[in-house]
Parts: sequence; C-alpha cells; structure tokens
Amino acid sequence: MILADAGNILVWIVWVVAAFACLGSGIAVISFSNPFYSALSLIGNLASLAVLYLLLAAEFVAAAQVLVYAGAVMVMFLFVIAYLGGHADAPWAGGPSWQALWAVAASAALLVEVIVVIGLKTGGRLSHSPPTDFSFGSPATIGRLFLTDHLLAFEITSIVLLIAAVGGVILGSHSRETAAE
Amino acid sequence: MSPQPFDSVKGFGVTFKQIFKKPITQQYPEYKRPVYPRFRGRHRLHVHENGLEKCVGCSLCAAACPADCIRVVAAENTPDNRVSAGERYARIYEINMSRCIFCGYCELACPFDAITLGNEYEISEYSRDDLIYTKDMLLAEPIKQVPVADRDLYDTPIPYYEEHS
Amino acid sequence: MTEVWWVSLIKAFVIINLLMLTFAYMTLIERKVLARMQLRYGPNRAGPFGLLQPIADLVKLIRKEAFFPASAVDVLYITAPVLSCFTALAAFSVIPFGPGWTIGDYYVSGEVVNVSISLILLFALGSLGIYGFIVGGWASDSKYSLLGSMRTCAQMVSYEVSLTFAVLGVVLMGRSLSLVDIVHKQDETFWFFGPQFVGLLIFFVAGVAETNRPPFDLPEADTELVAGYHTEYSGMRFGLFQMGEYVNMITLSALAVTLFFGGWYGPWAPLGPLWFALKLFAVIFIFLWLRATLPRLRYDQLMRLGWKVLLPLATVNAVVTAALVVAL
Repeated sequence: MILADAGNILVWIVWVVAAFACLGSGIAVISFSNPFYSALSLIGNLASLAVLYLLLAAEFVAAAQVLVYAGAVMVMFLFVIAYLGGHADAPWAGGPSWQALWAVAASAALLVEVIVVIGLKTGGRLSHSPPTDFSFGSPATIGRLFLTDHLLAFEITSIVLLIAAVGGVILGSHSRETAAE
Repeated sequence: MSPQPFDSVKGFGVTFKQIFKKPITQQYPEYKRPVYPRFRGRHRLHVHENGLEKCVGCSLCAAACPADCIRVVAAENTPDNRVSAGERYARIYEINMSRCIFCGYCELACPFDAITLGNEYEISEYSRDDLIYTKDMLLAEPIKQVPVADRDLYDTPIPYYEEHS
Repeated sequence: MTEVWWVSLIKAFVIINLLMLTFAYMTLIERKVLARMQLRYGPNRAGPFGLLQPIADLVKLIRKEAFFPASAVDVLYITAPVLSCFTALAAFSVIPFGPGWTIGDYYVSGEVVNVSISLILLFALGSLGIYGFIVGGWASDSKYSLLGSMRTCAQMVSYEVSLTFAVLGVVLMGRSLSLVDIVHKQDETFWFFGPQFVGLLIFFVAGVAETNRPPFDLPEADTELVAGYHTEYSGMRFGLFQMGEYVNMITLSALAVTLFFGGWYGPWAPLGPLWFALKLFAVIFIFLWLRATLPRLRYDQLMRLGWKVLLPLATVNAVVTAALVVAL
C-alpha cells in the first residue's frame, strides 16, 4: 500500500481526480450514443491524461498533448461529427443491453488480471519514485533523445506523416477533378 | 485586376492622416441644423385674431389623412358658447402622432387654413398614450423653438394664412 | 528567490482585474479610434469623452434578456462562452511585464506564473479556446451558428499552425521556450523584430486571423452569416464571447510585444510595466488600424492565404533562422 506523505496530499488528490476523470471519460466515449458527446468525452480524456503527464514532471509532453492532440486533431474530429452527425438526441439513448453488461464484466476481469500481473512483476518498485533532475521533461532533453536514442522512430514517424499529408492533398485534388468533369 | 500592394500600404496612411483632421459630425443637441421654412413638423391649430378658432369641425382633414389618424367630433355653436367662426366647432379634435406620417394632406385639405404643419420636430414621449395630441395641445404654441433657415432665401411669398385672419 | 503563494494569488487577482478593465476600455478605445479614422467622433455622450460608455454597455448586457433556445443543449450552450473566456484570460498569466521586485520581505516576480514551457502553454490554451466556439455553435442548434462556428474554427486552426511556426524563429534565437528567458535574451542581444522581421509579419497576420479580427472576420460578419457562432447568444453570455475575443486580442498583442519588441525593456528609465503598457497599446492600435483600413477577405482567399502563403513562408523562416543560429 503506497503511503501518502503529508506534503504530498495535494499530489494525491490531483492524481485521484485526474485518474478517475480519465477512466470515466474513457468509458463515456464508448457508451454515449451521440457521437458528439463521445468526441467531447475523448477531449476530456486527453485533458486528464495531460494532467497525469504533468504529475510525472513531463510538462512539455503535457502541453504538446493539449496543443496537438486535444487542440487540433480533436477539432478535426468534431468538424466531421458536427457536420455529418445527426440531431442531438439524448446522450444515453436506450438502456444497456446484455452485450454491454457482459462487456463490462469481461473488462473488469481483464483489469484485475492486469493489476495482479503488474503488481507481481514490479515488486516493491512501484512505491519508489526515482529522483529526476530539473531538466527531466524539458524540450532540450526530449530533442536530444529524439536525435540520438530514438532517431529511427523519429524519422519513420515524420515520413509517415509526410505520406499522410501528401495523400490527403492527392485525394482532395482527385475528388475535385472528378467533380469538375 | 492585378494586386497592388503599395496602394494598400498607402491606404494605411490615409486612415492614419484622418485622425488628425477635425471630424465633420454635427453634435446634435448643442447644434441644431436649421430646418427649411416649409418643413412639415408638428401640427398647429390656428385662431382668428378675435379669439375664435378657425376650425369648424368639417373633418375634411380626417377624410384626407392617408394614415387615418385624426379624430374630429363636431358640436353646434350655441349663442352663449361661441367657439369657432362658423356654425359648428370641433368639440373633440385629436391627432394620433404615432400614426401620422407628416405628409401635409390635412393642411392642403382644410378650407379655412385652420391646421398647418409647423416646424417643431422634437416631439418624443415616453409612452404611446402621451402621443395622442388633444385640441388644446395642438392649439398651443410650440414648447421648444427649432431654428429655421432664412425665409427670404428659401421661401416664396408669405403664405396667405400668415397675413390674413 | 521564490514567491510566497499568497503573493502570487494577490498578483493573479490584480492582473485579472486589470485585464478585464483593459478589455472594457478597449471596446471604447476601439470605437473612438475607428471613429476618428472615419472623420467622426466616437461615443461621447456617456460621461466626459464617453468614458462611462463601457459601464453603460455592461449594464445593458446584464439587464438584457438572456434567451435560451428551446432545442439548445443546456450544459454545452451555457459552458461554451465560459470556456472561451476562461482560456483567453488564463493565457495572459505567463506574460512577463516586469523584472520582479522585492517589496519589504517578499519577492514579487514580474509575471503571474513562470513555467519553463510558457510559450507552448499559451498556444495550448489558445487551442482549447477553439472548443468554446465549436461547442457554442453546435449547441445552439441553428444552421447559422453551426456554419459560422465551423468556418471560425477552420480559420483558427489553419492560422494557428502558421502562428506557431512563425514563433519558431524567436524560440531558436531566444534558446528557450520560457517567455521570461526570451525577454532577458532580448535585453542581452537585440530586440527580435530586427532579425525576425519576416517572423513578425507572419505572426501578426496569423494573429489577426487567429482572433477573428477584421480583415479576417468573415465568420462573424453580419452580412454573411447573421452573426456566426454567437447568433443565438444574448445578454451576458454574448458578453462573455466578446470578452474572449477582445482578451485574445490583448493577449496576442502582449505576446507580440514579449517575443518581438523586447517585453518590458525600455530605452531609458527602468519602468518595466509602463514600457510594456505603452508597447501593448501601440500593437493594439495597429489591430484597430487594420480594422479601419482593410476590407474583409473572402473565405477561400482567407484559407489560401493561411495554407499557401503564410505556412511556407514561416517554414522557410524557421529553416533559415536555424541555419544562421547554428552557423553564427
């Protein structure tokens, strides 16, 4: 049982709130029947993830998460859903089916399994937080890691993004040509 | 039309220079622009010089009004209560200013020059009921004088009713 | 030297109130400056020189009937203006406006909060502010609102990219993401509007588009979409949207001053906040000048400018700056 230091009580409160918000919004994403609400819950999920990153002293990752993922990608999601989604019905239309109940039971079982396995594997290391220096999550450190240890992943990711962007442009121009014919 | 970026930059100079010029707005309550002499403002009922009203309650003005805003109820002139200079007088004469379109047809229709449209235009009220002007309000002199432009410059011979009673 | 927490709290309170006061009088200053550029007086009836006009506007907004469309989604409709106003106000907390002073026993730093990533924090809060517009437009359940909010958000997202890229050059020259460090670096070397002139231009144009100010205000132009995303809002909810827009403008001007014009440094006399305020009002004047001079851009012209002109320019600027910084 991880004991809380008196000075860490604020960290604990924030962690508990953020963790439950993360889990709750994650469940809400898949249980709302109106897609707009699902997207909004996903935004809440990403925001609480950012708070959890902040608790891990990774402030650059947290800000980048909000800026890129919650701030740009989800905006695109919301565009499509708002334009093409239906009328705003009630968030939970209809009751839970037997399929949903069995899904909840199965995922609870999976959760218990995961907790047990992680707890057995790591032993006592979970309650011991290693000391980090001031530049732990700073952009300089992350940049250096990108360009030394993880260079291959970085380059492949940038190529994949470039392909996606070029593909998007080609698809868009192709449909414009067929529309003009 | 080819883009001309330099002209856009010159546009900025134009707007900046306007800050230092004096604005051409006329500030209304302090400066009231003079109206022309035949400006159609608030109606006025006139009296003869001997104190008898000119209006005889014939309601030709009410018939001519396109907005149907004049209400005339006539009564007989009795010898001991002689109000107008004819056989009958207008016992009730009301104009609904919220309906009136200030066209001047009532002034043209009146055979006795009893009603004219004066120059007063500041006739706002706080409630619609106050806008129904009764006879005594119409008979009275205007409360506020508005500046009138030079008569010799803008008006032609003095109207008949101004000189004859 | 670190700040005691309650000193930060008092400072945050003071800054927020000053910011809201600036917003209120910004509405008056905008109307008067626009009027003077159009050869007329601005509001000059409410109080001497119209100085009580913002108070009159505030009382009017509060007393107005805040109608609620019957088919609007309740929670989203009410929290949308709150979200956009909150992010606009919170973004101002990282802007440094002074060197930091020691008053008595306590140290008062020159900004409300100093984090090592304050520039990205500002942009992240700006991205969150977009949700206020999307959700407000969608939750009003009206076609004008939906189309207006989609246009607004497409425009904001497009120009946000160029905005962030334009700032890359400053970050490279300032060697840090923290606004305090960038301001200090400008004192050591030179104010960044010289070497980063292209960056400043891109930042300014993208900033005007980001805050939906004319000439990029098509989504909220009355003749085009009734009123865009705030069609179905009235009373103080509309006031909150307007507050979000104007405070965004003030924050962006403050950011421009911090990044490009040396922040709170002045040529003589170490009066930090005063120089900052002077430069801030100069940049805001340029925003108003743009409004008085230029006609509105059409939507396709707007999007083309953002993606085909500003983004390549900003990328080239960043690459050239990086090459020069490494070389020199």
